[in-house]
Amino acid sequence: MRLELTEAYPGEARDKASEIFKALATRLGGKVRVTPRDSLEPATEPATALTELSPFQSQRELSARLEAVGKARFDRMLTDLDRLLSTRGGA
Amino acid sequence: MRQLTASDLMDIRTLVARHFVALSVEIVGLEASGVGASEAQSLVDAGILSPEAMGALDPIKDAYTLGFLRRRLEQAGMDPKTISLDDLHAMIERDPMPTTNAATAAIQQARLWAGQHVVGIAGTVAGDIIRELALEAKGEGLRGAIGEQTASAMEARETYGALRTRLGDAAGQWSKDWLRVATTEMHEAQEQGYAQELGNTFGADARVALIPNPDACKHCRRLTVANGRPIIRRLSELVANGSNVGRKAADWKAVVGSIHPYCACRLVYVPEGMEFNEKWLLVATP
Repeated sequence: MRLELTEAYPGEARDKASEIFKALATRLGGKVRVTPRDSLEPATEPATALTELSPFQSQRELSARLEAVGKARFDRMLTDLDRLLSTRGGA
Repeated sequence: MRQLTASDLMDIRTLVARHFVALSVEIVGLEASGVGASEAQSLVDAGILSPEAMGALDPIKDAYTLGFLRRRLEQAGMDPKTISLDDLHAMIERDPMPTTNAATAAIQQARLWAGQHVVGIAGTVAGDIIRELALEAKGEGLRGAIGEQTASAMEARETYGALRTRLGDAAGQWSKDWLRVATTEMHEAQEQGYAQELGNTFGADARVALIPNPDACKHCRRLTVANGRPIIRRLSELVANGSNVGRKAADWKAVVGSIHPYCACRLVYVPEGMEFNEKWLLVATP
């Protein structure tokens, strides 16, 4: 007999359920297999893009916002550099 | 383009440094950037920093909070991976995370670390800019191909445009440099938050494992996987290993947080009586 628990890993609720399942399985003479809904099995696709690096949506969004802040900052810095060099007769 | 004077070099370095200070303030706020009120005001007066942008993003705190709430979200039947940033903020607003001294200190330390690193990159960027300008001045850049004697004002403008493009291209690398810092510190903060919550709930000797990303480097796999399965350790062991900052790769240890820059290994809790099977699924120990 195989029982699967599809709750996300790991948590007290699953710990408790795990104990119950274990006891049940022992009485039934079978084995227990607890399967997280969110598998820990490694995927095969490499994460290459920075904004895709984290598996967490909120962190990917943060990275994207940081990228935007950085781009705006460097654009402003180069504009200021233009202005500085123009006043020195460099451009 | 004329040779750069010592005054030019100083002004360029100052300009770049001020922009990186402003970038740091935007990301981690005034205090963590080590910026005083008068310096901040001078950045605002110079049009370099917008008052609204100061600490508008707080990625370190957000990351720490997500880590702290990760297990609770899972217990509530939510998948923390799919929660958006707006949803996370809404949750924090509805049910603020307890602000323990440990959490406050950890967040502030991570902010300081990130802020210092971002400001520290300014030196490299200023060096890149000055090198490009110096090459132009010596005629080794595109200007040299045109010929100093014959370059018309229009040609000079075109040459400068090319220089601007090259600097713009270099900005892509600068962006990668500081984002590496920000991303690494966000990951560090999230893992610290998760470890903090695990420690609070299950104690310092909670059983844990580090799960490497599919494209993890050989060092991470060496430190996190044995016999094809994630290594189960005590949280206290990882905490005792401290940080790998300053260590050579061969001396890296399994730690709470980033094993190295851009590390994405994730800490997970392993309940007593459970272990990983060959597919890295948690199963009851036979």
